Amino acid sequence: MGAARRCNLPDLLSVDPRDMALRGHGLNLKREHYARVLDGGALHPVDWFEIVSENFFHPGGRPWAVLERLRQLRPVALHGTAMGLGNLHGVPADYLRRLKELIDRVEPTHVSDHLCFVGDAEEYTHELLPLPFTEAAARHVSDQISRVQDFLGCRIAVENVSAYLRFEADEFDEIDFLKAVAERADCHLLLDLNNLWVNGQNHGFDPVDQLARLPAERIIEFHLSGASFADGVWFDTHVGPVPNPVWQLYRHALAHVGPRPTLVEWDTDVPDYETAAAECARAARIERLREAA
Amino acid sequence: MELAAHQARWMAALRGESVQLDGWLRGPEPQRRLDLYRRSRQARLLGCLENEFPRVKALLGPVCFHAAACEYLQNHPPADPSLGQLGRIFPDHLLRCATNCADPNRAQVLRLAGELARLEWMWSEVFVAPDDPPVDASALRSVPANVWPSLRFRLVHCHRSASFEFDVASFELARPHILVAEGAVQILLWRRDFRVFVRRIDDVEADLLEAMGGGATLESACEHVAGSVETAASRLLEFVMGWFQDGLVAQVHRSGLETEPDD
Repeated sequence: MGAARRCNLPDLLSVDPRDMALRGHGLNLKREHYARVLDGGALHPVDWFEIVSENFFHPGGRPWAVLERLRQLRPVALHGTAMGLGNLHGVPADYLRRLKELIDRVEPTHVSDHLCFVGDAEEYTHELLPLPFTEAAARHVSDQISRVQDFLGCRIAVENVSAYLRFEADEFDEIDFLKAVAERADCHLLLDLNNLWVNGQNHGFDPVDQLARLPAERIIEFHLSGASFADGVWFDTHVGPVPNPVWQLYRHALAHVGPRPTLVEWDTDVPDYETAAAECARAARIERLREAA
Repeated sequence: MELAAHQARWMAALRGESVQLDGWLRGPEPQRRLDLYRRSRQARLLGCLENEFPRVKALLGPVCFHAAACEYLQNHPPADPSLGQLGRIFPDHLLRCATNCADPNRAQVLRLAGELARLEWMWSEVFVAPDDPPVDASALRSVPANVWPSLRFRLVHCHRSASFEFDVASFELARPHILVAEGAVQILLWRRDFRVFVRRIDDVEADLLEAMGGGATLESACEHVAGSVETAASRLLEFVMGWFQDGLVAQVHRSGLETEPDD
């Protein structure tokens, strides 16, 4: 397992997370907000933006023009959905090459993807499919993360995913699995609080207890978003404002982990920029109240 | 269960195949929850194709579009990490369906759908093609007229031209029931800033564009098109000046030298 080298991205395991270059509250960049982002109006209270890496694998055109402009206005983080760290055949070399080119061009604050698998050698499912929480899966995925980090020359963050199923083969619970992977790969964690809450609802555990067991020093970012309930199952749909239980979990996260760059995701029925940005403002207020307390 | 077996079952389940749940899944209603993943994925991919091909959907109607898209996804599973590439060979799929269709009326509609899909996919390609600032006609005027025959143009990356079997450029999204005329037409698409333009071009302009885009000199391109520079000069010059006006020319090369936008 290779040690991740330092690059222009923050290597937070060697610094106090409170000294991170990236701070505050971000939004994921949506096509619906392109015109608003470009019109020169105030972007406050959004401190930074996150983009989906694969959407920019094909350079040029309007998306790139927006991104180039955005980089002049705010820091940008890269968040992938198709790296497939858990894929049996490994992360494709071509994918890594394209991601590296994107990193070199965008110079993001950090790079992240999901702790899941997304397909096989022939097919991208475009779903974040849960892995079994086994020793073999932990070993496989941590080896893949190390390979990715060696290739990119920096640490990446891996995000916990929502899951609507559990497996007979599970040998750990989700938190022990996350910890095992992060320690072996020496990587960061991106804690999606909505996913943690959704999994708690779907599988009958208390997300606050789970949160308290996570290694705070490895967590470099929080994600907040909305969820939907249908057919007896909670779904991570990124629809609507952040629900109150997830805000409550955010308060616990601030207490246990401390302030971290926090992203609001709103991908379904995307509202206008101001409405989405208001969620960032609320996250900032909660963080200030926590710090004041 | 080994990781390989776990992932193989997942992939089979997402394809709608029957898989053994005992010994794999635990918790309440495993089959129903597995189906949630399959349906959610299908809806996501279909939504992506609908966004990419609104004219094809308007022509076929939602039910037929859904059936065609499902068949496409079954035969051509996504092979690119970007969802933006999902519809890359959807036009070919529709045209193949048309070829294999026994009902001549339905085959005709599928052929039109395939041609519309080609146009919509080209539109997408032009939209995301690398930015390429055009030069204006002053790049041409700055060159002595006697040198013009030896000039070569580089056209902007963000353009495409192709021949279609229907006049698909005249298809109106708001009035999909009005069928467009059949017969070979040449269509040119290009982007200027954030806007994509589409127009019909005649065969002479298409040939000239292809020759110049392939690196021919103005003289050899004109000879290729019209047999001699003299017979076609005024008409061809009109085309060329139109390209500068539209923003289709990125560079003008002259005997190894080139004129950039900043010159």
